[in-house]
Amino acid sequence: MENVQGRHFSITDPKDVSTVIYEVVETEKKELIDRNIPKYTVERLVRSSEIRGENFKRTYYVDNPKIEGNSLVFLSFGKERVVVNTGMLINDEVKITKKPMPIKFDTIKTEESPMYKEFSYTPNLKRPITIIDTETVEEIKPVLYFDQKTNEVKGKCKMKPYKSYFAFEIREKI
Amino acid sequence: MLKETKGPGLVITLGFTDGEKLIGIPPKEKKEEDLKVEFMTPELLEELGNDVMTLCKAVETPKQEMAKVQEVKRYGITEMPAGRDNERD
Repeated sequence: MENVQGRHFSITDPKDVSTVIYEVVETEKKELIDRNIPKYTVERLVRSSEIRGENFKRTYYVDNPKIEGNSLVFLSFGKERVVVNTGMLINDEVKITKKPMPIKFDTIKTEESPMYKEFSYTPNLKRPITIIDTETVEEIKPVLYFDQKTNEVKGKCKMKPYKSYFAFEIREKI
Repeated sequence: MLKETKGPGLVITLGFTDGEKLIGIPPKEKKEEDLKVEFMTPELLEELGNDVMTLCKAVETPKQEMAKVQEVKRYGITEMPAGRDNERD
């Protein structure tokens, strides 16, 4: 199918809100056969932010708009909650549902040092899980290493102790 | 969100770091079924009808700008500084 050139769109986030948007990517059939990779993955859209008074104008880029539409997932992180929504970029419009899902997470206050330390997290490559720091909205990507004692591939990532993180797992059928 | 979901989607959980591990815990106020979000498709869009709204318009991106976007993506960067072309600092 022919694709048009890239598109972008903008939204306004209030001061204490940061919205990140993921595009749902379906793995091509020929790649599914050859490699043991998940059928669906998500890819974060490149974003730029401009301060506009008390708010932020955020612009998101889709470099491969499809004629049949691009499926999107919206995550708006605020103080102690995230609002989840789904939608599509179809032609020149971004559509979303009118019933987003708010999810609360408690900010855990602690006397512990705010320094990052390494936590064990071994990703299961058959279960793609995305972890997001709720304060910075950055993805936490585990670093894989080979444990010579156990002869296993394991993962570790730098996180702050006693802190909440937002995670989601993609499944073919939910 | 639809209660009965069958297609592909994501399942949400919250993570909490104790001293050593990342532990997954579902939010207390939600049932497991309510934490499932089905990916939007053209068929689902049609099915939802009035439960869907237009958030905003999307416009074509100039090639030069898209080239910048693709360059930062190549390096795994997802935050791009907003350009201030034709503006004086």
